[in-house]
Amino acid sequence: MTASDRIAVLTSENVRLSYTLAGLGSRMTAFIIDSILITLGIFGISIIFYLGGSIRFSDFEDISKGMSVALAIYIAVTTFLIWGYYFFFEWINWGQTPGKQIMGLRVAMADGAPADIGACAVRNVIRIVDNALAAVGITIFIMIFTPRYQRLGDIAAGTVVVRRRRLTIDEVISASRAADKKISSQLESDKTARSLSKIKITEAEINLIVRFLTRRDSLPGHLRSKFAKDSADRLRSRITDEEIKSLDDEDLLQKISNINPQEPGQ
Amino acid sequence: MASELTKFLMERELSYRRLEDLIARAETKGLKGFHREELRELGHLYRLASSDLARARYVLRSPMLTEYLNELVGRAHHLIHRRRQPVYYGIVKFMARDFPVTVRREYRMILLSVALILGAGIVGGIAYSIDNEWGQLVMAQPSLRQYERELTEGPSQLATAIPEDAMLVMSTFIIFNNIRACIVAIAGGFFYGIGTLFALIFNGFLLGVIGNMFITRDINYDLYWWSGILPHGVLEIPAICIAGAGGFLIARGLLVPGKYSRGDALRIEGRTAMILLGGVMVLLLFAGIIEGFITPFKPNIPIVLLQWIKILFAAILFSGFIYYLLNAGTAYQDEDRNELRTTTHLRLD
Repeated sequence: MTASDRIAVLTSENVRLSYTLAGLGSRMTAFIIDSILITLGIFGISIIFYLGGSIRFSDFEDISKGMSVALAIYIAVTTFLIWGYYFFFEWINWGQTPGKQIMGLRVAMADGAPADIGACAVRNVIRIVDNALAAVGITIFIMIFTPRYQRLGDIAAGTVVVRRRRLTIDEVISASRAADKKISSQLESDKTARSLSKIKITEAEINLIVRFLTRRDSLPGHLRSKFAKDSADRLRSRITDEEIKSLDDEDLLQKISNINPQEPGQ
Repeated sequence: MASELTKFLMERELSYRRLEDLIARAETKGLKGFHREELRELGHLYRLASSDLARARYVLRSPMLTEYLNELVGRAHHLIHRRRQPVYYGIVKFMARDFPVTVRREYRMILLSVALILGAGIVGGIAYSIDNEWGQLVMAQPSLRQYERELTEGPSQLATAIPEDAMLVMSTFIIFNNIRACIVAIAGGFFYGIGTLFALIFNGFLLGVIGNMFITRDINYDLYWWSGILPHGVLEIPAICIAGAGGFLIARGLLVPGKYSRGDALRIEGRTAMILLGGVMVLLLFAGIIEGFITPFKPNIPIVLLQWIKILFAAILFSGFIYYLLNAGTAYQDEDRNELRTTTHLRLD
């Protein structure tokens, strides 16, 4: 992320708000998602109306009343999908079409404010021009060479597309708590490691513990617990830290082998 | 063990939640339903969040909290310094005030469109008089086949062109087709007005050629033509002219930005064009309903009488429409000023 990918606005309270501009890739993906949704919509409604039998007629002469109503709805819905989809969603849904919503983008005014109805209308009327130019590959160059990745419709409407990550306060709090927890557990394990490393232990003992740990699952239950208890007790007599002393037998052995790693069989 | 950030968050959690609630409510329903205390609370919480944003960024150095507050403060900021109209900004209010006021303000561009359509119409009429080939050429348009049949089959068949059951679908089709054409005409303004110019001249020329075809054909066609085109035409043709004006506004922003920068001029003119487009859509809605239901309407009365009734209807509609364009919205201007005063003096303390 470079500095030019962000736009910053100073509010009248002298607080800096900043927004990250959306990249070409995510905008293109959002556009493709929206196009697919529109196509699926038209396709779906066409199939429904075809199966319903209302878009099969040769002339207006033999059209029935029901057919007429159905066809009128069909025309209205398909025209809306083709011509009004972007405008409608960007206006109603705070600058987000479903595709933009999935990609986490929104249309904003140059100062980050949500795009208003006039701006939504302008950018989507000029969309016709952009789409015509996109067919010959010009729009992408316009977007690359304008400093804020604007297409012609954006320039005319004074809008930019920014990334939007709407966090909730719960997410912020839980992230902060998780960070706290991570730090305190880090501190805790550092402390444990320090006192464990002070224990005097021979190489043979370590080898024995490691071998036990690797094979413990194949040992019969009573042998396993007996061996664990014996070796842990031997170690406990050399430990001063109460907290570590009170650890479970196998836990203690595991921790000791962790800070004194040895390959089994050496 | 809680860090400074967690402690801070614990302290602020309720305030932020309350602010979120207030903002969400204002975003959907507007600030109008807020009590005095709630407004005061919103202002207080907003300023709290604003200063916390600076603190999160520079003191606590928490990217997540910064991001969260950035969004929250941004939303509140745009709410308080409102530029966005509420979602339920009434279409009635729009048609009663914004549209006619804008039409009156941009009358020069509309006159230009009218002149272009009329001029092209006259040229089309003359072209047909000079060379009847033009008629054939124009009739090659698929949307005009209906007229061709009417011309060959004679006026007795004319009013049955649309069967009663198909009226609704015809009407819908006409409405959306016209709206589409007007959107394209406005977008055409982006090519320095050439697209708009072409759309206006093309439509005017077509009308001229066809009109001349009907009028010079036979005395019976004369009345037929006017009664067939005027009832909806008195709204549809002005709508095309107004849309054309919208296109020319965009072109004006690009070509002669005046005291503004080119980009700013384009933005200002573009917004004005969208007000015109909004009004044009409503006009076309009415025109389409008339074209689908009233124009082909054929009760059991003498055809000449019916035709005169339709022409009379068109005359009344047109005068009413012009009266509306010239007078609507003047009564609102005082109210407008008051509204402006209350919003700019809205103090949040």
